[in-house]
Amino acid sequence: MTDTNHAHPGWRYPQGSPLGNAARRIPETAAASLSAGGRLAAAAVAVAVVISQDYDRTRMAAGALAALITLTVAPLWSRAARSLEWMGAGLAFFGGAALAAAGPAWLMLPAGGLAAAAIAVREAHRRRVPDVLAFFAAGAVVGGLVAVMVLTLEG
Amino acid sequence: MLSRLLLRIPWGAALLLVAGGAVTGAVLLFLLAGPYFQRTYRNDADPLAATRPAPTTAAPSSASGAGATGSPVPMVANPPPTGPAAATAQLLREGSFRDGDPGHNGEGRARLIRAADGGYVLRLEEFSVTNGPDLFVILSTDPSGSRGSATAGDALNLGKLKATDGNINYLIPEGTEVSAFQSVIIYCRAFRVVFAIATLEASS
Repeated sequence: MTDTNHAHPGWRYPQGSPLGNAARRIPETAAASLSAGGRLAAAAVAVAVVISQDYDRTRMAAGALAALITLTVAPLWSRAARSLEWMGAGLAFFGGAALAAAGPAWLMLPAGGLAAAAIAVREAHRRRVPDVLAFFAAGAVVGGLVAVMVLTLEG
Repeated sequence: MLSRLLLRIPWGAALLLVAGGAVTGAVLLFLLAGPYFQRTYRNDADPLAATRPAPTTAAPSSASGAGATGSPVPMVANPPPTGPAAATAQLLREGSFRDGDPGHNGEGRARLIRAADGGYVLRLEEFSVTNGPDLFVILSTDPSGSRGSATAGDALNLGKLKATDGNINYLIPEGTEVSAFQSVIIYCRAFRVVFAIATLEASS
């Protein structure tokens, strides 16, 4: 059994996966709240890292991540909102991994994972193909951010 | 596109691929990027300290007791051993650290010391370097400490960098001909990047 995928016209979304069925049993509003909440929590942790750490490079990276993640929660770009959601979760997840040794920064990692899972639940409700590419692209963004920090800030 | 490809395979395999990819990416970022955001400190004893006159202040015996007056008299604590039989540590050569490849900074001194027991020690003093993954301390025969010299056959790897900041000692293996080494390189083996270099020169 298939269903039309609204994000990719003509594409048939496969139905009947136990994972999709389980996801659809979670209320969509709860998933939406967890998606935004997870990303905001990750941004708050990043701000805590900025405040608690004294190494400039760490503070700059955490500050940049906090700003980027917060931007993905703001309803600014409706067309790109879906990809931005995934990217926000990825920034939290991979940013938390990169900064894991800096105080509470590791908490960003589960927050990002939670946000990603919540976004996947929403996608299941809307029968859309999860934009996992945007999630993984966030890992590349974090890698680029690290490179910029290393090359521009004296360590 | 990636999402569509994932939809073509069984959902369990797709879930494993996505979760596995995420965990792998996170571990790689933690291992490769994480060190750039950490500082570590270490303070090893100075092998030369026993031979340096360490001035301390102590009241002269005649000025002891409440209400005593007079300026403190500098006294030497643990005076160096004297006489022909006394073994003392000796500073052989030293150099200041300078920055390595772009974005990688180092400062402090590298000191090649013959310890009181006759062994050789490389001491990184008031040392600070950009942190990174897979960093090693290398003794090189090339005074310029070029990247290639860090992996040359005649280079001596003293082991992993123990800390990014502080005063750090490395024992040089017995039987090493230390006079051949002209520089100290802090080298990232994973990415073949020079983080800091100190050219060793005769101690004045």
